[in-house]
Amino acid sequence: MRPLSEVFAPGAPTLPERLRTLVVSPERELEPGMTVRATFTFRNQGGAPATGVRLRFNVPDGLVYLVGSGRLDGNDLDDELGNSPLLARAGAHIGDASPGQERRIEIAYSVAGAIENGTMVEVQAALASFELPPVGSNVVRLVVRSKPQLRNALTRIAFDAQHDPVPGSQAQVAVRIHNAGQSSARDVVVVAPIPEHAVYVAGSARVNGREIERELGVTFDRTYAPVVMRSLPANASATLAYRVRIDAPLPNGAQIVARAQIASQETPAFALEPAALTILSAPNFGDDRTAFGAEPAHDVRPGERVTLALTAYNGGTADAERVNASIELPDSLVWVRGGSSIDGRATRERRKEPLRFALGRIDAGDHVDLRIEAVVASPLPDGTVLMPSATLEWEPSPPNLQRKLECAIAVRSEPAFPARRNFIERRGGEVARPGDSAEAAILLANDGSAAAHDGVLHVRIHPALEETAVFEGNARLALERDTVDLGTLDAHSVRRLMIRARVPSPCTDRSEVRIGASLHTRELGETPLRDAFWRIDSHPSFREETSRLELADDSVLRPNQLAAIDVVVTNAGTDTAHNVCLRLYISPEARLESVDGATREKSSLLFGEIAPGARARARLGLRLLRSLAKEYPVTVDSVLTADAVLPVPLARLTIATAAEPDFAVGSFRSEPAETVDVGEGVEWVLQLRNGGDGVAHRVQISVDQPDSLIYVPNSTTVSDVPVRDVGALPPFAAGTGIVLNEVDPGVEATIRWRTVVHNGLPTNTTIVHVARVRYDGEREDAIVSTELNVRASPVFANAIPGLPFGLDGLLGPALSGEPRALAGDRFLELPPATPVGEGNGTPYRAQLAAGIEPGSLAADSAGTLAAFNPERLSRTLRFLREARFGSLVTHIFALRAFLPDAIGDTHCGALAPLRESLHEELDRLFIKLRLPSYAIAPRDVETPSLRATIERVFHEAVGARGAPAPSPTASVELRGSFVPSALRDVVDRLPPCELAAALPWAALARLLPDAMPAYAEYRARLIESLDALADSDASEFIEALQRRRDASLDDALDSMTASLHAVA
Amino acid sequence: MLVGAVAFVVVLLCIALVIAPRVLRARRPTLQPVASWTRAAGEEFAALSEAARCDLIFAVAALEEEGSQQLLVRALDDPSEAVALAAARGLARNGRTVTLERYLAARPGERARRIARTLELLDVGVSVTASC
Repeated sequence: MRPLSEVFAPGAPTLPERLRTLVVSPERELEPGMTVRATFTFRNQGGAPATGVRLRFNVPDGLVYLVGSGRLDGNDLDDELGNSPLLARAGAHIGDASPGQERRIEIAYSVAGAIENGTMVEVQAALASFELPPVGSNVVRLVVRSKPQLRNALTRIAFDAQHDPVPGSQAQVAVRIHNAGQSSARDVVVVAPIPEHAVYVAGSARVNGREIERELGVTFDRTYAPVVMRSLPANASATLAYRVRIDAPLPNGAQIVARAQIASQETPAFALEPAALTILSAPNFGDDRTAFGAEPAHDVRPGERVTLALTAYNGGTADAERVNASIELPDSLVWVRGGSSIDGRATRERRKEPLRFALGRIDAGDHVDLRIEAVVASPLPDGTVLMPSATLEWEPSPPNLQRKLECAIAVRSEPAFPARRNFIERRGGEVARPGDSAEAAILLANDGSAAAHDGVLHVRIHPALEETAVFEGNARLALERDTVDLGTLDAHSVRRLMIRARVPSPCTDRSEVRIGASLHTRELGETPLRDAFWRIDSHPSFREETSRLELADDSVLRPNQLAAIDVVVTNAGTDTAHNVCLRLYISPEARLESVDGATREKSSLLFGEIAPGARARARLGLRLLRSLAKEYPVTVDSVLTADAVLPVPLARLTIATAAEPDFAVGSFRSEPAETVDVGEGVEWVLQLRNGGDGVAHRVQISVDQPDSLIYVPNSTTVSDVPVRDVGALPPFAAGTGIVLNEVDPGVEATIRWRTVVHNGLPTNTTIVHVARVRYDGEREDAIVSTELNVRASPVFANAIPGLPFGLDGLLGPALSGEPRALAGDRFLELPPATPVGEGNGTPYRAQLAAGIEPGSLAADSAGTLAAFNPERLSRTLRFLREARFGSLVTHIFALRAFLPDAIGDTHCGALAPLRESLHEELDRLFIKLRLPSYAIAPRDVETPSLRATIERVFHEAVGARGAPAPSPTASVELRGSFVPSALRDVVDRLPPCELAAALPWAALARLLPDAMPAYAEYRARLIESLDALADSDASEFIEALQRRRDASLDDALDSMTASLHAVA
Repeated sequence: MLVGAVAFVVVLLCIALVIAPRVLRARRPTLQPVASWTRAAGEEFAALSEAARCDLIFAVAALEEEGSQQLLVRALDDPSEAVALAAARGLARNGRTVTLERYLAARPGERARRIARTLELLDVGVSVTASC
């Protein structure tokens, strides 16, 4: 059993109904606000008092105790605080109830103002005493009748913008539902369509701040009549709010109306008073989206194109009509015609106000891009800021409302010296010679857009250049330490400078001199201007005028004397001459004895290096080896050579020789010397000596034969060589006397002859001989013999012992000495001459002309002789066999092979040099012709020295007479003959004949042997071939040597060589 | 026994003396022309033709200094036999016959033989013997 305190505990079951005395009014239904009165009466049905009776009423939900209504038996039970013990947990202590005592308890409740319809209210009272457990009354059950009321003043719709009600902005629609009834409204439905010109903001629907879209399952704007609340209690409010975005654009003043309908299960739908929102809108170009800018805007260089872009953005909420833009450009910004475009499309060009553009209508939120092209003018100072502006006008707008926009263009301007227009340029050719003027033009063109300040021209001048000067126009600029102050170089200005310098002399060949320049400015620093260079063409040079051979004094050169020759070699060029060499070609008659001042190498003088303008001197000692006739002066040819220098033949030095024979000194004596007996033989000795220094070509010695002497026939000898008498006369007394030829200086000739003193002379007769020596047809010297006294003695007897008879007139004993008997030969051969000097290498022969007859030669002919020993002949034949080159050149080698060793009966001194020269030149040709396809050059055939030697040979040959003497050592002699006068005709044509022509060889061919038929055949054919080419020029002759083949001539040579083979 | 051993050694020595010169001769290099001698005369002569090399040799042969003679010796190796002949002639005329003979002997062959024979024909005043 539950105590009383627990009977009405929440959730506890009601007590069993034991007393059905509880009466409640009203009995069935209740309405909110009604008063419910409950009366409970009980009686102690028992017999014993019930002590400690307690009574308790429950307070059902929805009912509220009316304070002061609790009464016990008509008496108030509430305490002073209004609390009723009837409702207390322990109940109201109502004292004891005696048996049969009835007690009445009243209590009143008030129904709550808001109570749900259908609520069941149960009222019960419980009674207990000390003796009795709690007893419950009957339970009175009442049903509440109530309803909600949604349609009231508080239920309404609001439409408010968050800020200004401008198009595009958001606004909130709030539908407030207030339940002004006594019970909850269930399934409250709101129909709140999205107003026109507005768009629901997704997810913004809230009911009392609670998101409802998730419950709806769809977006709010797609639900027509959503149940926003399942139950809206009485006196409660709910707010359905959602946001909308106002359409844009909207015209100013447009209204957006929000409407709503509300309903619930208890309430039929009813519409709320609409709420409207008036739109405020206008075009607006004032925000940052309307911009005016330039591209590029920084570091814009003059001349650069700038795009000015105006973006007119209607940031307002209304469309703009007739929008115009006007562009204003500063003077330094030049508008580019045809370069304007609106929204990428070219604009129509307007003649008037070309920079005013009609942009047309721009809807709200739309924009128009206007682009114009402009070019930054040049020049401009660096750092200039250009401020183009754009003015924007539109409608509708308040009067004079426009927007002006500006942009800044920072100009970066600087001077420029492009390499194409700023350079140093050489004037004239690349090659400069020492002493030349080197000119270089410097062009400075400031193609930049700003002036260059503090311009300084740095000039790099080759140290060797001289007299450097810089000019601008005709004004000479100050050049200080290789710099020229140029000051300010204005933009787009051009300055032309000229640098002049002089190439030094001397200067090394192939060297380079340069003039470089660079421009230094404050803005650009160093600007290189490249270099101008010259290649020096400098060579050593020697000229005949400044390099020469000259005699140290004017004295003539005498045989065996030294002639001092000064050699002056001057390098007239501009570069150092290396390996300077002077080749001397000295006449064979002279010999180079000493060289001072140069190194001698054979016949060459080596000077080494000679600086430009320098002069090298050397003194030569030239010794004349043997006598020369006056018409043959000693010549010294010289060719000056050096590295990289063309050979320079110097002027021929002709040294006059004063070689003269002299026979003034001689001895003429007799044996005996002082006295001689009559009838006694006397040997006369005439000693002649060429005491001069020249050759006596023809010496005639004549001695008058006195009557006092009787010549002993055949007793005359010359240098112990018997000389033929001329009839009964001694050779020195008849005709031309004794003739000596080619008597060199120092040569002695001793003429002896014997005489017998006429025995009829009286005593004391003096005999004096006078020898007359005439030489060279001009001079005559007389040599007087010592006086010889004749001694005679008387003789009376006429008998001599041993003589068987007496003889009158006898003189005495026989003469002492026997005269030399004449040889059986008719002619006397003179022994070979003895060389009398050294150095010339040419054997000298003093030959006697007397007694020599031309033999088989014609009177007007001279003979030639080529002497061969077996070895030479064999080698010559093999050489000719090797030299068969199949053309005319073969026979040039034949000329070399058969060149005579002697011409005429005198010594031909030029033959040996000719043989040597031919040997040298033709051996080279012989070697070169072994090269495949070698083309003969003129220098291979003849050189100036060879020509000179040939001319000397012919000079001697045309004066030759007689035939050469046989060679004592030759095994084979090839003899030939020629007519000197005919040869002279050929020789006279030689001087004007060019080198490497056929004429010299045609002349040489005439000296070939012709003693044998084979020889004569070959010589004739060779002369014919060469004569045919004599009038040809050198090139034709060279061509013939190289190409022409003469089979008959070759056959003739074969015949000749075959003949020689037979002889060998 | 001792005599036999000595005889055997002597026989071996004789065989060695006979064979060794032949082997050495066989190993001697033949005259192999090379064209690099002109470098000694200067770079500008490196590309001379045969005829120009001949002219160069003739010019050098007129000089008597040692450098020129060395150049002639090197020119003996010229690929052109004519150039080599010119060099040989220059050496011979300058009295360098010993050098020339030694050179030709060190490079036996037909080329050396032809050079020696031609020098004899040209009568350069010396007789060059080529041990070919």
